[in-house]
Amino acid sequence: MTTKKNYDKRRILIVDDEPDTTLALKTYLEQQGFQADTFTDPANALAQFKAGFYHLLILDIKMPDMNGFELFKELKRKDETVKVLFLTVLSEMHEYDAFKKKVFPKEGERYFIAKPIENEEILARINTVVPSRD
Amino acid sequence: MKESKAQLESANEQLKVHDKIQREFINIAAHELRTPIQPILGLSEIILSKANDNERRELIDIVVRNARRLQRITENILDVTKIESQSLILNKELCDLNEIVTSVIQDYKNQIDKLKLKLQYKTSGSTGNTYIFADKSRLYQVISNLLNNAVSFTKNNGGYILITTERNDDIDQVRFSIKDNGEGIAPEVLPKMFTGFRTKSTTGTGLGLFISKSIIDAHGGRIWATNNANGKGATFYFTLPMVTATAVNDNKMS
Repeated sequence: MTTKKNYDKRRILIVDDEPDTTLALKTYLEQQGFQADTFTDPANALAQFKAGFYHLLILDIKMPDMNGFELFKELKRKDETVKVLFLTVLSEMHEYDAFKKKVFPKEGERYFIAKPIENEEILARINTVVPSRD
Repeated sequence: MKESKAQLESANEQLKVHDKIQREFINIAAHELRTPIQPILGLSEIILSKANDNERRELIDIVVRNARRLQRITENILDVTKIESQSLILNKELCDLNEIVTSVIQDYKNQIDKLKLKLQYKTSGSTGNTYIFADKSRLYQVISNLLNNAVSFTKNNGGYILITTERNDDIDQVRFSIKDNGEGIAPEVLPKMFTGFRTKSTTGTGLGLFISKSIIDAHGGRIWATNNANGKGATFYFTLPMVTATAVNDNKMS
């Protein structure tokens, strides 16, 4: 695990079209010692994405213009090793089954966090996906 | 005669359309409600964790509690619309009922300690795993709803809550029960408490039992409640089909 991403602070990119939701999540994660950048516009997030900079992406699935899966496919092209967690309303998952199968042909459901988001739950999930070094 | 039949059919069609519009409206309205609750809850929890003086903590705690309540009501409304339009989708997998019960209890531990309630959890019948084929998050929701009700029924009485799971290997069934020593259920409410929304609730979970019943039904189980024989409090039960050890092994191999 000695990659270029071995920084002291774990860096997270949050993309959700609801600005207040993103702000609440960013504030919580920064309080927990992460560095978090946020975008409410997926196209903008893609344009300004810094490959190799983030340890984890937290992407909303349902967004206008570009959904979270589409955005992830594009981001993954720029950064192969970046990890991801999707925010989703579980009841809407079936609307995205086709995307899900394309993006994760084999892998299970462990990349999804059900909305409403619980602060402690999301922290626990982040810690399993990108464990802290200490 | 023929004409009036046609008229009835057309009126029936109109009603169906109207019903669909109504349902869609409720669904969209609940979705819209959900979005602003998220930052209210998330940010007030952060403020709560930073608040130093007691008075401020107490006030923000009220905001958090009510935001959670609003969130629960919104989620319940969405669930009811799903149940009514028969689009409640279960993601069933092999899981252990006792593990789900334990995680619900864990999540309520702080609240129960704070209210100085006594909670006991017993598993009886033969030992071993209580494997079921179920939607974990939906069962979590049912148990959490029942525990939440028990807590709110008992909290003013120095409450005692007993949760049990009991295996019956003869019929491959597991029975969950949660007993409280609260005020009990009025006899006229008892027969209809799972079927309608008439149960007046002070805890914002009036829809919860209806949803719980739909979830347990969808798992091939049964849910019911009785008042305790000693006249104090009530017990809620549900049963679920158990997955046999042989079936579990087959599942693991495939």
